[in-house]
Amino acid sequence: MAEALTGAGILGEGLVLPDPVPAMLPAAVSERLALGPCHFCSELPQARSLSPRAVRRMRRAQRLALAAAERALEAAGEANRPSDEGAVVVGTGLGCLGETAAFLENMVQLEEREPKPAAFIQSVHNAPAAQLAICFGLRGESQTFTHGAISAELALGHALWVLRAGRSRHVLAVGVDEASPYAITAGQEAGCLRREPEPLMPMGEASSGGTLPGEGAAGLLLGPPAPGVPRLAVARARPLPHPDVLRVDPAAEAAFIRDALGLAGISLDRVDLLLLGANGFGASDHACARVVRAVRAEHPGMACGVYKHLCGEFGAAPALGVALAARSVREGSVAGEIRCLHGGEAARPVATGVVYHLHESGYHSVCVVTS
Amino acid sequence: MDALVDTLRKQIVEALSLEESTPEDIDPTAPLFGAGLGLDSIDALELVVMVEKNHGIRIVELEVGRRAFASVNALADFIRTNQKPCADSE
Amino acid sequence: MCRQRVAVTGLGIVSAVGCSPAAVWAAIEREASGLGALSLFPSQRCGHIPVAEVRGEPADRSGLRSGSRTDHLAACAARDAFAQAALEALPEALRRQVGVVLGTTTGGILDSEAFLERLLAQGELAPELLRHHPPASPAEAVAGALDLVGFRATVSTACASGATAIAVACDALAAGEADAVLAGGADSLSRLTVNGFGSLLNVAADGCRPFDAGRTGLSLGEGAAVLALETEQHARERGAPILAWILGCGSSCDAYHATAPRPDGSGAAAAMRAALAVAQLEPQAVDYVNAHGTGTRDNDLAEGLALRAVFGDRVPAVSSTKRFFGHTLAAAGAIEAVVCILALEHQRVPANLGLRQADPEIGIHPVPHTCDAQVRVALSNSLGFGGSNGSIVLARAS
Repeated sequence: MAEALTGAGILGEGLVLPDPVPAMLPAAVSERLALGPCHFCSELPQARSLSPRAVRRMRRAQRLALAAAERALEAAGEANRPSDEGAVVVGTGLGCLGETAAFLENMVQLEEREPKPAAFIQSVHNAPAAQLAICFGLRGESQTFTHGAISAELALGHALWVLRAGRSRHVLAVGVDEASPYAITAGQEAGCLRREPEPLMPMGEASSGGTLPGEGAAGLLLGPPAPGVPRLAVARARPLPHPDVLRVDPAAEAAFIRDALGLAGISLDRVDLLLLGANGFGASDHACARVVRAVRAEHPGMACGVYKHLCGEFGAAPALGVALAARSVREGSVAGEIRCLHGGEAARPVATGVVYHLHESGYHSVCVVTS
Repeated sequence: MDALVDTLRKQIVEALSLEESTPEDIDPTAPLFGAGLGLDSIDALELVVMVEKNHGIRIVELEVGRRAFASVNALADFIRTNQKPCADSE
Repeated sequence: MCRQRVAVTGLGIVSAVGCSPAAVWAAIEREASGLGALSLFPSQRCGHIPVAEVRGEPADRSGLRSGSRTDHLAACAARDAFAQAALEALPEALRRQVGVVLGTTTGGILDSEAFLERLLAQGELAPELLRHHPPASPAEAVAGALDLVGFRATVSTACASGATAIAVACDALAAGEADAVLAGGADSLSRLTVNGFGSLLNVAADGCRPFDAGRTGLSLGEGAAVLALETEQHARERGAPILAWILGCGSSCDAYHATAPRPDGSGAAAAMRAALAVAQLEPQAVDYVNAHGTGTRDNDLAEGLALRAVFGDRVPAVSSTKRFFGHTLAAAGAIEAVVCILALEHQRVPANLGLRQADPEIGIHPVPHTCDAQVRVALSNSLGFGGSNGSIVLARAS
């Protein structure tokens, strides 16, 4: 029997949330591109670790990643500051869209004249990871996962492995995605986005007709487990056995969750909070509801909540879910930002949280945060 | 003050979005890179584009760029040497 | 990164010099560069610069109904690796659990460029052209073509992506997330990279000359390579052919600059040492190094210093094969792993094509011609933008 995984201490977490009210993006290079509605940061967060000039070179993804990392490091405190052997891992669903767009729009409009070398350099999807390594002097490995809706979980899973294998003592893990008219245009064409700017009600009573795109970032400083420090025990993401989310078998999903918990030696009845990545898209919300019913039928004391009303839908959003679960375990109660569907104030103290995603792009994931 | 040097100081500030510096802050004899204004290799590439856009001269080799951007005066000399007699706008 | 050695049981490669390991090795023996004229798309500004373009139409062989050029390149290579490893012989439930880990830098960007062209030049919206834009698209195309639902990931660490993908796959095997994984990288030529690298002024007008005193820059290429990787136990239990071993992977980050490597090569040296440590080998055990060797002044100098730091005055046979394949970005690490495996098989070291006079400032002497050598252990470097460095140690299957 394999030894139960201890996982890593979550020494500090930081979130960068977009504006709470969805709106239209300010502008795009063409009026034919869709601008929203979406959750975005009308003002990008300040960055303390870089000069104003260096920050001005960055577009959205890097700015968001940097702010999330700063907040996580600040929350972790000076005593937990990683040394230069620390590693960086970033999960981003679509990477540096803004930089890529800036270079290509300019190239097309000016027929290749007057290129934008800075935009090209920043368009590599590992630019945020590179910038974090430079800013915080981290010379251990630097990885960037760019796999849509499971990018953050892959990044967190990789971070856990790096720590378990003893390759670094600390890993700065960040999930980030930026709002982009291109992503919104593609999403509207695929039919999964709603057109009304009303706030998202994941798993809500009324049919919401689609999800809302968003942007944001979350950073977690992972390191040695310690008493009183929440632990990230498991981060597992897989394709669904069948890509159509409506065909998921709730019992199989419950087994998927149970197996992930089992890796950490935790049984399902010990889960106090089930945080869902439901995003208002009808099919996946519906499938998720069936799974939740199956799980809660046996464990009615489990609080259950959603978080994407805070940030909208984007690939790396699960990082924000994990950060909120960490905050909940750290405080011992469901974090105020989480919208509870079941339980809530009446819920028992939170010592173990599961962040569960069932995504319409054909993936599911489980992250386990425990005290 | 040489008009071209004056123009170049303004164009450098604009091309690199140097919000903390004014054109007058740039000493035309001082190094632009490393010391002096402290620009880096990415700024150098942006200046290459600025020179093509504003003065119609295309730098294709990094070494040529390094010498031309030694200082604002060096850049002015480079432009005067390489500018076509009748500057056609692209 | 890999505690236990990993078995390589299948190879797939698509490149400008050949679309099979045999074709690629024949080109290496002939010392025939894959560089030529750009024909994939017109470019006023960069069209005269030699690139390494894949000949023939990848879509014809990929088995995909639709996809970007990069998806097709990836699927061609993956299908070949899968077939050579005879993974379809596994019982269905196990076969479907084979993992996919691919690296890509620009994914389906060619289609996205076409989208922008239509939008900005003609005012027409064609959002279907964005369908294959996401970086995950090549891995999903491979998984779809082969009906795989196991561990799946896409990594994007610029020019180190192929090496990173192989390392992540080795981690997945060690962690028990999979028993077999298709790992590699794919990138097509694109207007983004042709113009982008052009704007960095480090593209060679006469083709790259890695480690040469007169080198002026890199040459872009396109392609894909995929390795079928398995735990030793899994490979032996099913009697799979073992082509080579991956003994260790090492990673580091320069944490220095967005593009330039640390001039002293210490980042690259750290990755090499880490790989050797996992492989439990001393540097003198390495017989051949396939360098990243792009041909830029900065990379080759830093990498040369790194090699001298790690190997002292006993630097083994070194060559960069980038004048054969061009710099294929995310595919490079995987293509070069295949080259190492072929070198181990043939007991021959590939030429550092394009070398006229080794740069004395770098102080290493790459192999000028493909030649015989005793090659038991090879090391492959991939050093990317943003300072991501990856090294892989491979050994001959005895």
